[in-house]
Amino acid sequence: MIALALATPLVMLLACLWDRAQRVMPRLLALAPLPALAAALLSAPPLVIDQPLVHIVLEFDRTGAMLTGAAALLWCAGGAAATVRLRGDLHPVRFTMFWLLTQAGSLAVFMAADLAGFFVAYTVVSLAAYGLVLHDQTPRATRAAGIYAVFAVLGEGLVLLGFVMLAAAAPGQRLLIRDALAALPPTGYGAATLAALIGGFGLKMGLVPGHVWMPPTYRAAPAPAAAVLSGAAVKAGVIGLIRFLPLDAPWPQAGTILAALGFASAFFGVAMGITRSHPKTVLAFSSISQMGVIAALAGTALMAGHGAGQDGFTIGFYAMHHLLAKGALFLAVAVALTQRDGRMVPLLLPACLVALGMGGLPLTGGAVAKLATKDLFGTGLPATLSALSAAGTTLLMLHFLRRLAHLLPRGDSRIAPLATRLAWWTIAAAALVLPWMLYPGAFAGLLTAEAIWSSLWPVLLGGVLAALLFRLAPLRDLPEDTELILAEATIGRPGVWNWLDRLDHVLRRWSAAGLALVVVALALAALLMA
Amino acid sequence: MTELLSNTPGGTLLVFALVVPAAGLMLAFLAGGRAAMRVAFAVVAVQLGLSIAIARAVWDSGAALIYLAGGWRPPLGIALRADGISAAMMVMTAIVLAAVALYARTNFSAATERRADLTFWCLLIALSGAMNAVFLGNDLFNLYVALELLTFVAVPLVCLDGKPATLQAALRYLLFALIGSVLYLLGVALFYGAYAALDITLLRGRIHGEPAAYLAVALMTAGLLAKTALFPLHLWLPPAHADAPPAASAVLSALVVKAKFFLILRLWFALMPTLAEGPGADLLGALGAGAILFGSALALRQARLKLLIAYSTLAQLGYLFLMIPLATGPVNWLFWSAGAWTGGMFQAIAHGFAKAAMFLAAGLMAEVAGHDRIAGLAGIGRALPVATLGFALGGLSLLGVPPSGGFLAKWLLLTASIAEGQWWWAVVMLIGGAMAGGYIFRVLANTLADSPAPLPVAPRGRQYVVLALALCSLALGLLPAGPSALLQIGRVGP
Repeated sequence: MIALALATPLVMLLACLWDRAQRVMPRLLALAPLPALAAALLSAPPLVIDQPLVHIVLEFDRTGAMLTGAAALLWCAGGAAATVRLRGDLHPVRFTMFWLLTQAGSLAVFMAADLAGFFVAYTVVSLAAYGLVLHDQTPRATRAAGIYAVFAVLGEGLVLLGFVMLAAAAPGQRLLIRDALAALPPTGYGAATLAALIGGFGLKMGLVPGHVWMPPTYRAAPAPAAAVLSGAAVKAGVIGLIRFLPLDAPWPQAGTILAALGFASAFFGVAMGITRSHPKTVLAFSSISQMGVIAALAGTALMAGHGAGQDGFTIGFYAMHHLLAKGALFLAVAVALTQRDGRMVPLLLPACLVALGMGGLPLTGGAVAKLATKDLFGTGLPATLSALSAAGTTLLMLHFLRRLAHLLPRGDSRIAPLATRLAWWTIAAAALVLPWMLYPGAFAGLLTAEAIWSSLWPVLLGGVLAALLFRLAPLRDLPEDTELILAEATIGRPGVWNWLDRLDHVLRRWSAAGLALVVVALALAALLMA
Repeated sequence: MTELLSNTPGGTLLVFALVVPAAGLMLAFLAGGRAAMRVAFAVVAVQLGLSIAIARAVWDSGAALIYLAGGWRPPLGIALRADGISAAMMVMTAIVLAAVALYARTNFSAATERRADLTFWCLLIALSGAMNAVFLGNDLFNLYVALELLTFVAVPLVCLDGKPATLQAALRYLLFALIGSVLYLLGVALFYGAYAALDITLLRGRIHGEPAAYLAVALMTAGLLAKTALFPLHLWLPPAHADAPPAASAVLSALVVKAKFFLILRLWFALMPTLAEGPGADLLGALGAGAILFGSALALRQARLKLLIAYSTLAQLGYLFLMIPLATGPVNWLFWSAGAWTGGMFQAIAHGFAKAAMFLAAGLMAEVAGHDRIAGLAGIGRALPVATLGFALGGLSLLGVPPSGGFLAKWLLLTASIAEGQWWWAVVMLIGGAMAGGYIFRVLANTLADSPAPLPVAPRGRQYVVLALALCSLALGLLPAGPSALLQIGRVGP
């Protein structure tokens, strides 16, 4: 069953190499994740590949099955929207191939139970997404894809370093994640390993200051691709934290740092997001903010060390809601971009519910997700910060809704294709309802006046803030490409590295090379004879 | 582990691996023209079969194959010896040469006989023999002859088209290689003077830490470094590899530099196994680290595709040298140092396949586009879909993306460096990997771009050669444990 779930996108990918299938495959994108959805719903039995050098275990635990199912649903809806987007596109086959590859990695990463399998899936989802970002090939897309590639490879390297350190601490080739974590010593070595892992997964999640790739990437990718990337693909970093943080024992310092990083991202995302005008960019900043909340959640879990089973599920539960909500909102943008009529209610009403749900509007799925984090955030400073970040999210979402309504042209009448609208409504409904269905505790606890008030006041606060801000201090928009320019500047402005060429020029002169040869020979002789 | 120097079953195979190309070369030279090409194909095919047979024989016997020429034992006679790494490198060489021959059929088979055609096919045959002579030699002077043979094959390959620029590059290469040869020969003379033997196995028993041996091995290593073009001794490599015809660039980058590295391994691990534990190994590792950082950074800055690939070779050679400080150590590191040994050899083999694929792909791109400026490659992805895929897969193997051979190589080297507490090599490897990502994606983004005027769609035939080589590099990571066990056979260990 798991094999079928992963084989389906890969077989469709190979079919794209065949001329006749090339016309059909872009239309079947919505079907590719269905086996994975079924496997997650049925909690399919594990798949174990046991070769001497290749040992891969794919299995569902509670968290993995939940995230796989939600991601498969989003990939399905996104596929329907992508099929529409590909009509009349110049490169439908190429987009289809990158889409399927990213999808296979994105789904597999939730199931992998061993280091090797996890790393393969993680790499595939990270690198294949490059093709989706690049797809439109506008100058902006090309630049964004370049930045994306650099940050993806960088994060990949850090994760690899962490994995290597885990493997070095626990020799043996068949390394399950839980065994590797159990062998991690609580010393400086263990802390360094954690730092590498948090750094790598943090880059993937867009935590400050590694967030600069995210706004340009989501802005440049076609809206359906942005939906799956911001919803599903980015959760590869979240599942990384869930799987690889040693949540069974308290690590107060590492936890505090991670939580601080997370809350910093949460507020920074809001502050930057309200200064942008394009809804996709605003959503990207909301992602940075929400990933920050998730990191903060993981950090508090690491501080407490209650156990991976319960806390890992809580983090996954919150991530599952964000997966659906953010995917839904990007699909709303996809609808708005193809919509040519004034009927705003079918678009904007669900968008309002989903968007404010992210802030915790009572009775939405988002409120359930927020309430599920109550135990972990406790009552002290983390709880306050979490509530304030919910207020910030509400503010940011109100800003997003204004920008979304702005996107809809008036007068002209052409309604968005049905497939796109269906995809949007499906995921919106899932974001509102699924958290209720999957909530592990009793519903009664969600419906008390105290619970409702605790989710309501941040939303009200956010609303008041928004009213004040939009009225009193009309925001001046920052340039659209601020992050792009910032990222390019960190990698190197033209001219900064010119000295390398000059150095090479000098080294490749006869005199320098001859001298170097003599020096190397003498140094070797001296070192060997010493 | 002591090894008796006597004929082993299967030892005669080693002789054939040298005699077949020698006979082929004579035949091709005499026959001339298109017949030379046919002879070359026959030699390449036979060599492929022989190398696989040798690898099988090594694998089955679990020990090195040995053949004593004329039945004379060293120091009187000369021994040929094939251990696990020789066998693996021979198979890689044979596959790359076969692919290059298939690819070059189009470029070097004009209807009217040209000097370049005959030269190319003769050189290809000679290269096959010279490479095998390096992999099989167990006698320092024999290895010197093989090394010279290799240089005299490689230099004309660089300037096959006879343009002034390539002639200049070839001359630079020749001169620097000759200086390297002199240093190597000096070391050989020192060894012979001090121990009256040149056989590696014999010498290993006779060396007991005399200064002469250290001086000799230092000179020989320096000479070989010059011939490998390890940073900062790389003055000849970029122009030589970038301006040669693509088929020649492929064999130069994938094979020829590896042969010199192979000899360094012989010196440091078979001749004087204690060397790699000392500070000298750290110097080689440091030069390798410099090569990774410097080569990758310069690859990022190149405007021409073939120069980018050449600088990437410079960087990838650096990874090979990291194996020297890592593949040895106290007994409790045995697991990791064996891993580093395997990792280093995987790197040599995976890079061989990947780099050959990339140079051949670059050749096709230059044929279609008429130039190899990276910024002007728009539309290539449409015109050469299979070759672009091959280039991408080869690049991903260099980058170390799982499950490729390059990934396995880097994984083994990384775990060894962390477990042995030499974490600084790991940092360098990761930075190098990130930069490799930068230059690979930079090329891919340009090939995937739309061109204003569509380029003609090229025939698929040679593109599949590129893809096949890239797939070899990729498949290396998926093989069962066989190859990594093979690489350990005949290794002189603690």
